[in-house]
Amino acid sequence: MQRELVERARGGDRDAFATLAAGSIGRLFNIAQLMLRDRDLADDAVQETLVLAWRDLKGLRDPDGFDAWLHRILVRSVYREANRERRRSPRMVQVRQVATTPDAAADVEDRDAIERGFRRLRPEHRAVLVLRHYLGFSDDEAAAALAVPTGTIKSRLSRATAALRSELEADARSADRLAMETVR
Amino acid sequence: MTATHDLDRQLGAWLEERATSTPPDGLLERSLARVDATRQRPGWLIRDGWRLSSSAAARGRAAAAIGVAAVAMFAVARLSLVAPAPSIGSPATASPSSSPSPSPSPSPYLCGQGAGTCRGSLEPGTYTTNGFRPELSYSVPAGWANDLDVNAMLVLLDAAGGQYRYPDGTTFRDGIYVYRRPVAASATSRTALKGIGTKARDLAQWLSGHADLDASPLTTVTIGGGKGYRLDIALPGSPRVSPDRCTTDHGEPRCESLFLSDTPAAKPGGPDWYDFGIVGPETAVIYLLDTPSGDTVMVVVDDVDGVDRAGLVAAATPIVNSFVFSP
Repeated sequence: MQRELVERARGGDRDAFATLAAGSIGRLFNIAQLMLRDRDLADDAVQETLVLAWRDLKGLRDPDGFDAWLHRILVRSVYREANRERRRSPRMVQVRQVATTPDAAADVEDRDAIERGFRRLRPEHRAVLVLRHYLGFSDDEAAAALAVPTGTIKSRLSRATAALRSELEADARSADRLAMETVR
Repeated sequence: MTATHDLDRQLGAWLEERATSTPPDGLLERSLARVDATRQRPGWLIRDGWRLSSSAAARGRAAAAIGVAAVAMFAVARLSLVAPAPSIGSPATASPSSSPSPSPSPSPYLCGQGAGTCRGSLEPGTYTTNGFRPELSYSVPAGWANDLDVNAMLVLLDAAGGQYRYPDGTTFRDGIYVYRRPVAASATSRTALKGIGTKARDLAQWLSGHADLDASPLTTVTIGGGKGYRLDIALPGSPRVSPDRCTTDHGEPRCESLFLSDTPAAKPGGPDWYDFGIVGPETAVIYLLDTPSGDTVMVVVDDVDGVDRAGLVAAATPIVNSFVFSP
């Protein structure tokens, strides 16, 4: 079914492309939002992705590769939006504090710490973590989406995880210092 | 705290939790309105396009990608075959500065493989070449890496760019390639073509009228004190009729040899040597410039896999426009 739609869209059928876009847009937006952590930027990235996909669809030789091809265009669009965002002034990240029990508080703290740490990662590190841990991509699939060799995926994933861990540890040290100052 | 937990598991759960939001109202409609205003590019312009179009194909190619990195088209293949692929976006090995700063060894970049100095992954900022002459300053945003910086070549790779692997195993990546003192090359032997001058105008006119290329008309440009011409090139869809040594050098049936290094320090096989051509689906924006130092310099925005030329050009053009050549 998708193959037929891709072939029709490749032949210039806008309705077929609209059907493909409708079927993909939720997933694309989710991925973009996770990588960018910003709905407006994700909105822009998805629009850009669909425009580029339509424009260059005749260059897709294998219709069965449509999803992987779309992911690759999306990642490029996400990088572009992330770079654009970096040029603007940094924004404060507001974190809701809604914990009611010690366990829940710890859980929320952990999630908020991940949120803060994840936001501070480089775009390419966020991208590889989303591909692996949200989409469940293999190294080969992630390599195809990011247009890098498989070996690069392994090293980038390792660096991204290390960077996130480092951010979380820094976050924890900061929280400890704050706690100590409060006690004094 | 989080750092002591299973980070992968927690991250997966956090991503799942954050991924439940629905797209903004009207996103599909806005996207399709823009699509309606967009024309599809003809297949011949996109060339062979997407090379990693199926996971099986991707797996096969990825497994075969033995960690070679690009220098520029089929330039300096000796170096390409020994250098592992760079991991663009990894922590920078140098902060923006004008002083020489060789990458630590072993480096994932060509410069760490006995081919001069370079900076590796670049933080956003302005840099000055260590080895390339005439000395050149350039500014990059995030997502770029300096893969090579020697007397006759400067290579900046795009983290979001594609790559292309030739039948002989040489792999090249999208980016900006800068060459000092190119001369028109013979298609049949590794020698300069007689009768073609070496100034930007001579080379640009020769390229623009090349019988085995699809080339755009020339436009005049001034970049960083260099004056010259810009044009787009690609291979025609039909296989070439006349012979070219690149078919035997790299096993690629569609290719065209174009330029050789004329830098005094360049020795065939050495780090300053290049042998420049265009292959398969590749498309390139070429700038040929006469610089204040008297050197002719060629800047190539190189979409090696022909997948997203517009994206690469949009990302690379501000960098090229930031170039400043020293006298």
